Amino acid sequence: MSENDERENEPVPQGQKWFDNIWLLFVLSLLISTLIYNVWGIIDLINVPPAPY
Amino acid sequence: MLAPEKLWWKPLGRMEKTWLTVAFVWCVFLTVMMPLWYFYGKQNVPTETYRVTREQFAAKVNEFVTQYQVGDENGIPVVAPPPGSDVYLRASTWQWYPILQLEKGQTYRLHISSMDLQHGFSLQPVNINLQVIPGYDYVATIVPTSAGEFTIVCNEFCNLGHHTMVGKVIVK
Amino acid sequence: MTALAPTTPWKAGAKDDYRVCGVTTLKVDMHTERLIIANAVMAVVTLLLGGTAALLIALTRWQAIHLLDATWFYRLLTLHGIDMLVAWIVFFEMAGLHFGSTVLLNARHAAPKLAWLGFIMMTVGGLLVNGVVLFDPQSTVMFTAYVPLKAHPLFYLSYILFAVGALITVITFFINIAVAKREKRFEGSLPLVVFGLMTAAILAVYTLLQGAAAIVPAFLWSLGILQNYDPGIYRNFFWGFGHPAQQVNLAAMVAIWYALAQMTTGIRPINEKFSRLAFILYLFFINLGSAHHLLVDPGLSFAWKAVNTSYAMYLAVLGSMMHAFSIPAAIEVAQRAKGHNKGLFGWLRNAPWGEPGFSGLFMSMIIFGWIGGVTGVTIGTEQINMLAHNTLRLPGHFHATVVGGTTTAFMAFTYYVIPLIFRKELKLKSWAKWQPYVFGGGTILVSLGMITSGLQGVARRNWDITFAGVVPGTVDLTLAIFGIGALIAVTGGIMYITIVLASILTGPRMEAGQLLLVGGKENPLLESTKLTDEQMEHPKNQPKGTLVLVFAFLVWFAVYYLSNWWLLGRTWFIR
Repeated sequence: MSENDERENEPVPQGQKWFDNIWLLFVLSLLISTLIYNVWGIIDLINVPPAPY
Repeated sequence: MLAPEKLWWKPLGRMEKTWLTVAFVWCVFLTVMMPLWYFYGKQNVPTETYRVTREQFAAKVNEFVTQYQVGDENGIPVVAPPPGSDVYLRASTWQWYPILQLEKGQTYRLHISSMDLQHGFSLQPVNINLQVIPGYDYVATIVPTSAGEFTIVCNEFCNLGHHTMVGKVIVK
Repeated sequence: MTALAPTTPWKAGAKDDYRVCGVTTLKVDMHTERLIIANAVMAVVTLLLGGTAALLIALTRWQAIHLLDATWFYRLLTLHGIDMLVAWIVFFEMAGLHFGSTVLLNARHAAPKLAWLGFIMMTVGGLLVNGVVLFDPQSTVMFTAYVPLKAHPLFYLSYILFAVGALITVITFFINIAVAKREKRFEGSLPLVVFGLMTAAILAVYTLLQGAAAIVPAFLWSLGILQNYDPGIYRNFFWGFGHPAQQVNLAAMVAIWYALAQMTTGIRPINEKFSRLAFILYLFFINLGSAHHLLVDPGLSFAWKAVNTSYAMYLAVLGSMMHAFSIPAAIEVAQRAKGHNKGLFGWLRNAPWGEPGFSGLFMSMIIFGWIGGVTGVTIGTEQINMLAHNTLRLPGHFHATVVGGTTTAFMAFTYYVIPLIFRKELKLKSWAKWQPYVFGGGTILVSLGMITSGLQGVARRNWDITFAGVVPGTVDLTLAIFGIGALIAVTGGIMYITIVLASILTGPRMEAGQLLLVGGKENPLLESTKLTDEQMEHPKNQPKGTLVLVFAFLVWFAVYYLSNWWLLGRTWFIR
């Protein structure tokens, strides 16, 4: 237990802070999916050339 | 389910590390397989696509049928295009048009599009499946590697007669 | 050491009404309790509707029986898809979100009115879409309603109502967490299960926004306001909804796996960082998997398909493989710490196999991973998808994930919700003991029957494949396996609904006295807090057996995956 008590007073590591940051995770999650899946996909579709005949 | 201890940011144990490494290597392998096959494999998903109107594509199919028709089966023309040529296949509820007659080992540029709803091009029993979408001319460069009679099944739901939408490819 | 959330009462306002659960020592806001009950009831109602349709359509595809005519087959298939893939699971998840954002945080429900609004919209939307599909012949358009297949405007409107209702409920989840944090109901990090539910909630926000992007224009188009709707664009947005909706299930299911493991075997997560990282990999990458449905579509580049289908670099698969290790490993450590230390698998032999929470967890994990996961990654490979797209291999895969995985886990979890939230005694306990095996076993047969039929080229969503005239004789066998599996799974489903209805409709309201349903008097949830760091790290307690299991899994994965490349190499050349 004494080891735990010591740890209680340590600062929270930066990694844990990031993992705890709901809003950061929220924004990144939506941003990654929207850019890579939607935006890129729709750009591909828009760039389909007209038939040469 | 309950609150974790205040500081849980701890190094991974030996077993977690082992599994994480092995799993990651496996994921990298899975990733690499696709570009490898893209450059060296013989079976790849076609990417060539053109935007097309229904009228445009229908006219192209008719021109193609007039040019290379060799027969007729229950009112649907049988068409035998020369190797290397552009082949046009029209999907509509509930018909694949026309019947294609190809030669084994030859290359064809197969154009597929739909006149109405979305359809599914499912060539059986070789089991090649592509999505057919109105407004898009999807071009697959194919080489039939086996001879015989093949069936095109529609495998995208296209209203109540969907299961009757069956076409044919003959390979000699 | 893990501490229980503090149980000091919050300063109750006039409407702040709560009770303290005698079994778990957690506080339950009465708003939350009523919301959970309402959502759970609607979940079971839609499960009943979708399950009835399941039985009838399975008996139609079982070629020897071929029960329904084509019209009713396609109509009920549409209904089945909507009720099962959306209504049942989303209602259940909403109950889970209310639970996770209040009870597990020791907090109050901060937005009950908004939550009820969401629930009412979902209920109206969910029931309306059932009515439209049943009574309007035009609206037999499948769950996917691919433009330009046009349904009645009410069809789209009910989708929109349901989706907006769900989005409102998800927003209350975030409100609850923010308020709980501000009111200092909990300190530090979210509990792991809530973190998992939060993953599900974030994925749900993306999902529902995509649903709106796909369906709102379709609604306008069905009214004639919008003239043209590009089917390619519709497919992009629709699958941004349709596929991630199932990733919401995945995240919620994994959260429930952790919960069930803790409730039945008293686990402590082996490493919080490891498990949370796995959830974050879901958050960032899993929605790219929407591309699985567009792999053989015209107009999309190889690069787009490969990057999206592989979740950037199979990083979401990595997340699942991490959970596949960390959950059994935590169970193994907890079991070994209890003294079940014999050999590699003594801990597993001595697991509570009769406890539905454990057997449900076990069946769910096995079916999800060994069948659903492996087949999913394989058919989601860009080129291999050409062999599988729109064949029965597809539903074969997702019946393993959504039915065998998610539904089995949700059903098992319900048995604990009944005494703890409904505060009714669980009836028919001996049925509950067997139900996960019956339901899971049936689902395994359904999946295998579908996958093996699909391998022979049998199309999905097809009333009668014999029209094509290319069906080898073995298809009769594989479709029969699917049909028999469906009968067994439906039996498991009827057992579940009977147990739930018998429990909640009869008998007096009573406070739960114990956590385990058949396993005895102990309380693994509270015992889990007594696992010390020394016990967790003791060399004798290390999860050696789990390591063997996950390596066996990897071998099976590799065999199935590579044999599909071999199959692909045998077909016509195509580029």
